[in-house]
Amino acid sequence: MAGTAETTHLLRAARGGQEGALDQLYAYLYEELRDLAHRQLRRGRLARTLNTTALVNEAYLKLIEPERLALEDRNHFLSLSARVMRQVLVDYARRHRTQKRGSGAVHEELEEEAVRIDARAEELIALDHSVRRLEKIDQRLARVVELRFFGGCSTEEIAGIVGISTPTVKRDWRKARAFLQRFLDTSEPA
Amino acid sequence: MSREESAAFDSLTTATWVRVAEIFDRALEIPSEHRDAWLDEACAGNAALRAEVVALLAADAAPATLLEGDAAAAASTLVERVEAGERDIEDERWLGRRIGPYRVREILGQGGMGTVFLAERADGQFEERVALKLLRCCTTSDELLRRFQQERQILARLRHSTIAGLLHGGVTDDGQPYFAMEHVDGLPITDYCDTRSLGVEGRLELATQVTDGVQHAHRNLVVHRDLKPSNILVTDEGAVRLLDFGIAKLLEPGLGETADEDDAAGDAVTMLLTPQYAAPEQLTGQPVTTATDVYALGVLLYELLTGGLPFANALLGVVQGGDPEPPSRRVRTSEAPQCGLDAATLSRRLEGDLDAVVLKALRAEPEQRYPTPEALGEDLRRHLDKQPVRARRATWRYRARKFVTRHRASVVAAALAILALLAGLAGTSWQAAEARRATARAEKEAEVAQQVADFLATTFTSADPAASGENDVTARDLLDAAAVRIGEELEGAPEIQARLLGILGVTYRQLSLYDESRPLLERSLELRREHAESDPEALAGSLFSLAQLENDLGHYDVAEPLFREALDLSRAESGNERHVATSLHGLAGLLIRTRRVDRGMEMLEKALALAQPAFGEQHPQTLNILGDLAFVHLGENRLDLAVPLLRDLLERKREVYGNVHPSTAITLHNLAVATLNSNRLEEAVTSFREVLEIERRLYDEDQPATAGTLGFLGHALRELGKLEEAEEAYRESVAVLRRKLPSEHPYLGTGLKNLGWILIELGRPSEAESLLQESVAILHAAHGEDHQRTQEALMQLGRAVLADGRPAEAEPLLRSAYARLLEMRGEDHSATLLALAAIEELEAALVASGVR
Repeated sequence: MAGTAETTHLLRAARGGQEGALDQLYAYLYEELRDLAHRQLRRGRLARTLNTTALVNEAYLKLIEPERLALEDRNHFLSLSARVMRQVLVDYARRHRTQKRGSGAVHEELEEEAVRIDARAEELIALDHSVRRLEKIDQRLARVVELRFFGGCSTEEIAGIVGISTPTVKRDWRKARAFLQRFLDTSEPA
Repeated sequence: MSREESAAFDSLTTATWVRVAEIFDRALEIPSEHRDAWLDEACAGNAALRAEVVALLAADAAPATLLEGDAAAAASTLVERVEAGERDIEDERWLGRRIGPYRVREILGQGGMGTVFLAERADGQFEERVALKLLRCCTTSDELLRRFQQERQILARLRHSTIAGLLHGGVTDDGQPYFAMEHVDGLPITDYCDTRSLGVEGRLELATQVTDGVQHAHRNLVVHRDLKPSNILVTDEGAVRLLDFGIAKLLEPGLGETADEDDAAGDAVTMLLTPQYAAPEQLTGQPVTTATDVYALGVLLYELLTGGLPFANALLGVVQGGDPEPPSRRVRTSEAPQCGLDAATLSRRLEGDLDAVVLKALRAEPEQRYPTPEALGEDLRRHLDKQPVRARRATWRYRARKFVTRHRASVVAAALAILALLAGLAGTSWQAAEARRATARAEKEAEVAQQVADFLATTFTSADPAASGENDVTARDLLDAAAVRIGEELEGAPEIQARLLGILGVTYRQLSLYDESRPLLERSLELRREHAESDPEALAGSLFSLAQLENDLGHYDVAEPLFREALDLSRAESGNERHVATSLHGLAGLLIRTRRVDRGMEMLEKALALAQPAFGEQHPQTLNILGDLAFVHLGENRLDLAVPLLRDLLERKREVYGNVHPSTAITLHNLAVATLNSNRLEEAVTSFREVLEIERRLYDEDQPATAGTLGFLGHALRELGKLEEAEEAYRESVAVLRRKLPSEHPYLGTGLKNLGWILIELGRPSEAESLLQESVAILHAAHGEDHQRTQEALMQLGRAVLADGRPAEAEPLLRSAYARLLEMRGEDHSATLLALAAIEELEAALVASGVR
């Protein structure tokens, strides 16, 4: 795992537009968020639940030296984390599909639980797909979704990152939610 | 959505979307009943556009979905499942393959850091079945690698018949470390006992084998830390084998009790251990020692003898801090193990020695347990040999001490705790102001409040009374469980953690559980210091809470800077007069208690001036400040200032709280004292009688404070010359004191002195004398000789003796009391004057009796 000095440097370089730096940072962040999710799940003895904001904050603290960062760098980090978190979660959903096909797993769980997990995986994949559609016609809305849902960012943080006012963030979110809702509602008959 | 719709969306262009989005935004502002008409106009006949907007509006009105939640939280189970699935696939890959000289046959178990396989010798040298432990593939964690190597190292140093030993170690072709241990074909010890219906002796016999093995490990400076039936197997031949030193710890040579990095981090290991068998110090992150294994052995014994665990909920068991139910009692109410005895017989068999042995191993405090596994084993052997066990000797002293601590947390306290928790939810006065302050923060606040509510809700539901056996779950248990959980589960949410810690800390303080309160308040403060820029108000609140605690404990030098920092922060936050007033009030109280009365009073006045408009005239906070102000004036005997303040306060309290309320009673009492001191005796009598009436209606039982009120009433009546009525009041006062206080309490001494005095006035000196003897004895023991009350009692005794016609006997008493009072209080003090009057009587009597 990279040291904080290195990743902090990478973050700066990435913001400065260095292609390779961004890829490298993306890879580090991917690994870190997966690792943290793994730990977070094993830590909670009573409630095994992940928390997006906590994951991103933890990754931030592990990878970055905050005192050496400008606000724009932090915004950049949050933005990147949201993107990576989206990738991490969607990858889990995809791996779940693959595992089901491969089958042969020793693990047994309640039918109900299995159905719920399948549905959740499909939902995440469908959402990712819909966000991509949204990206094509309204990039800003897609970004707001990514930051809020996958990045766990607050309305204020999103306003700062995207460069719009908080009421606009709220309006954008509402529109995006309505847009995506139509694709998510898989239970509705055709 | 239909396929057509989906296609329509795919072909949706940015240009169309811009129009749809714009109309959607505006449509949201149109009341729904006008929307249809408005849409007709806005879409100007473009049906496709209109349909698009309508569909979007419908989706907007649809109930919450995945998107409303937290992405990672929504994926939690999925992530867990995928990781488990990948582990399975990875493990199955090994079946049939060779690792070192072995061929892998079966998966025996999957653990936190690796998988244990059943493997056979594949090089044909000899037949051997081994348990082969392989570190999880692609492990990036240095911690896991270190731990794996340590387990191997630990096994290498242990050579004992009861420990499954290390046979071989190495790395696989692709570089994964592994080691092979003796494979134990056996049953978990509890299953072994039950399937063979082993009797008590047989079970104890096996337990001594376990203690031998653990003792061997300890001698080699290894603490197992995870002893439980699934790690203690018994072979067909009845031989015990200890397994899984995976989270065992190496002790520093020569140091019995060092906390290693695991304990400090509290993370890696606590998440690995098994809570039901974990000792309290493991669950609370205290240093782990050899005594930790002794505790686990206690749990094992408990399970072997009763068939159940000592605590249904280990966490609750720990925070209650008490002993579990004795095994003999448990077997009467639960299903007994298969040991060939019926419940009643088994219970009698366990009663006494075995109860004592098991409970000694299970003491919450490590130093109260058996010092070594060997000592526990010896006691078991002593019992098997029908010798008296060591554990029983210490039991009585131990139980006496336990009784005292247990009774600290009373039912009343528990009820208070619930109230405080609910109050905490609604926001204390401090937090409520915080919530109201800025609309920008309202959203976040609501979110935090919701999470706090959820957290508390699960705390209440997780403490299931049925699950904890006979013991009722008290609010105290809930508090304690919550305190543990806050630390564990809210690590990623410092804001909520800080707030909940604050609420619990304050609640503990209100219950006078100061030791429990302090670490929570300190941690809350620490968290808030870390987030000080974002929320200075919350920081001020934390500072204030901790300051109050230290103030309660009389640690004024610690409390003062905390109060001052809270005050400075509150002042910096412009416009929040409430916080400034609250901080000033706290600091003022401290200054007054540390004898800086003038400065304190000045602050109280300031606090009052701010509180009146900020909180309102009748707000409890305002009333408290006013009450303190009046009380200090009263204490300083500034009656001209105290009386009007108290009258004003009393009026407000009657309005706010009603006439029959403890707070109203306190003010009325203080006012009555003030009027008594300003010699308005009739008024004082009326007021004291009203206080008594209120207290009678409020409480079923007498309160110690009632005795005080009765005493004051007695004084007022005595001054009025209503001696019979005064006697009655004093008598009642003494009766209450005798009922409510220990017989050596100085208040009782004073009460008796007052009663004796009035009896002298009533001409019943011999009756007075015996009471005054008692009074002197109590006060002398409590305060010593050089105390005004002791000397007053001696003086009254002298007066009684004199009034009884024994002036010679009275003389030394009266002369010495007078001299001491003169020295202590000066010649103008009423007690000195009374003594002087008594001496004059004495001299007259001496002359009359012809002595002089």
